[in-house]
Amino acid sequence: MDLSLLPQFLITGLSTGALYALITLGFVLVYRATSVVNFAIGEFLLVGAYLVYTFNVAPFNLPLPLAMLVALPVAFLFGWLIERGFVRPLLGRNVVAVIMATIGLVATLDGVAQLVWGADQKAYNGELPGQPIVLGSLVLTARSMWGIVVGIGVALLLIALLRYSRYGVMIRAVSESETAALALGINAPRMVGIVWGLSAALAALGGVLLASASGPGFHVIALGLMVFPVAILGGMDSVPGAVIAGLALGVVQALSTGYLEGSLPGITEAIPFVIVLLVLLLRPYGLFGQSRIERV
Amino acid sequence: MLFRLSQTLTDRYSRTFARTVRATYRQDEAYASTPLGRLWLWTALVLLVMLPLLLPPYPMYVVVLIAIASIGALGLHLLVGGAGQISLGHAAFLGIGAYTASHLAGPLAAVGILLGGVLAGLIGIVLGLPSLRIKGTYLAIATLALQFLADYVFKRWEAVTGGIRGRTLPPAEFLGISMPNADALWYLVLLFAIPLFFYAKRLLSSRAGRLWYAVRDNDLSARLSGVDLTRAKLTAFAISAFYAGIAGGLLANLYKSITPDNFVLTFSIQYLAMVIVGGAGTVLGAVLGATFIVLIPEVLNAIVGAFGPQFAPSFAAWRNVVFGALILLFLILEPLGLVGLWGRIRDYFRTWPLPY
Repeated sequence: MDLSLLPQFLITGLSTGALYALITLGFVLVYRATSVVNFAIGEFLLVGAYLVYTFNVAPFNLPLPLAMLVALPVAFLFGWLIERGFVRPLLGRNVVAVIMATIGLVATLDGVAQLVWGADQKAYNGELPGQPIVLGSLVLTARSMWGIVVGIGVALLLIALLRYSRYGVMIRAVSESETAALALGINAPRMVGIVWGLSAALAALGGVLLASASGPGFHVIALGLMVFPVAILGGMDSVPGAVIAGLALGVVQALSTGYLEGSLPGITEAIPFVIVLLVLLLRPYGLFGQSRIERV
Repeated sequence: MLFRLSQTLTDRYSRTFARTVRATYRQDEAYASTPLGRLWLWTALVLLVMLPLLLPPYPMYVVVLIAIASIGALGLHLLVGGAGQISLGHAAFLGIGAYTASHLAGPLAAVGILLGGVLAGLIGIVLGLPSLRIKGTYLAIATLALQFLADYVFKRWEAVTGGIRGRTLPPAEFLGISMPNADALWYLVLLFAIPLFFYAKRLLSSRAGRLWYAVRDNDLSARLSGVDLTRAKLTAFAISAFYAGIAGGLLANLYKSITPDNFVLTFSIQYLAMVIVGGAGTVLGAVLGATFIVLIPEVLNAIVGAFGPQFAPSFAAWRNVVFGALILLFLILEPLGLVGLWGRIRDYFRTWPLPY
């Protein structure tokens, strides 16, 4: 164990963790508003990362940050369409049916992405702008800065919007009770559409930043599946839980890559899912979730 | 007069072809409810036994695949359609069965396959434990986690699984008869498939099945009417995993070489697709669903062949699109699956030509 590298691992972990938090935030919003668990979240990341790639290369040739800005509304639209087309027709059916539908989306979107963008690994054109900051032995790369700043910044912005903005209040009302929200004249279906769009946009943002080092490719899906450990640990319906658990799991993974991977190769991918099982057995509602789970 | 005639005809029809009213549990538990049904059953069994004589090698290979997939799908059917629990880790159980069978191959193949099923069943009980505290969504996530952990174990426990290179098996032997190809292996598959199918049918139509349906429809009221939920759920998980383990063992003997890639999440999703496309909770549904899903790649292959080789690279992508689209279409348009579709066609002819 070389403890001198610890701060470096922590920084790397926090930057990945902030992005996990961001993606999970979108996932949790969808769950709160519609009780739908989106198993296709990994594909949302994939599509997002590829959309940015499309705007990043010819014929658009936008620099990476600009491409992200252009791609986000498209990703929002994509999420909104998914809700319209595949989730809304199943409203009122049992949970298993809706879970299955998102699993069906997993296969469909995998295939469509492969047909549109090809199966091979792509590379983004250019890097994220920024100079690395060196503090003694600690190096803050531009990429980790982007991760931490965008991840935590957007998460805080979103929490503020949810709390204070008009639409945020309406979304929370729909999550609380759809019937009551409808009775008060809130356009609940529209809110649900917005939440799905938001989730897709957040997934796209997280996806492109997570993939900025390697370029977009099918490994992004595995990163998207990290949403499940994060959401379970933080509590499926907890917004602050998503942020804290995201950061925590990012750090755990970075530490495990640094210290355990040498002796136990592959363990980094397994640890989050061990955590899932432990949390589900010991404290199924997570660290911050409401203990509303029915037990029979 | 015409009315009377049509009524008699309808009555006659349903008594011979499709009995809908079952007065006793005995009728409910019967494998075939009409004389014609019984005739069908026996013809089908004889046909199954003679199949390798009738089919050329490649179609026979596909049929063996379908039969093995049906066993696996049937296991998931019992869990999803029967007890209403969801599992995204079915491929992991197939893997357990397959790796166990790979250690007891050759002359011991039948024992290995059976043992693989038993081992998978035991692990199924352990993995069913989360279902006692959590359900629906949370259970799906728990089984997803198990699928990933199993993947990790298959890849890294090199002493037992051979790591990413996997394991190879010698041809199976049964009672001294070597089974080098699909034609011969078919009989080993039948040896397992026929009892398992009859057992599943019996399970679903007897007490165990009725308990599962009660849990599926409303676990709270099932508990209130005295169903032992713990037992019902754990048996569902154990039996479902047992079926998957057997299917995995047979698959290993068919492929003769297995790698962790044979048991990844995609295959769990494929089995779920079989259940949905087939239709919930019936034995026929498992077979229809498995046939459908196994045939898709074959049909796509043929289409790709017809359009020319330039489409071959996108083959995997198209297969995924078709799988996913089928799941979505059936969920949205025909929740009862192929069985429901068949039932509606049958009902149409039951009252034909005077539907009212």
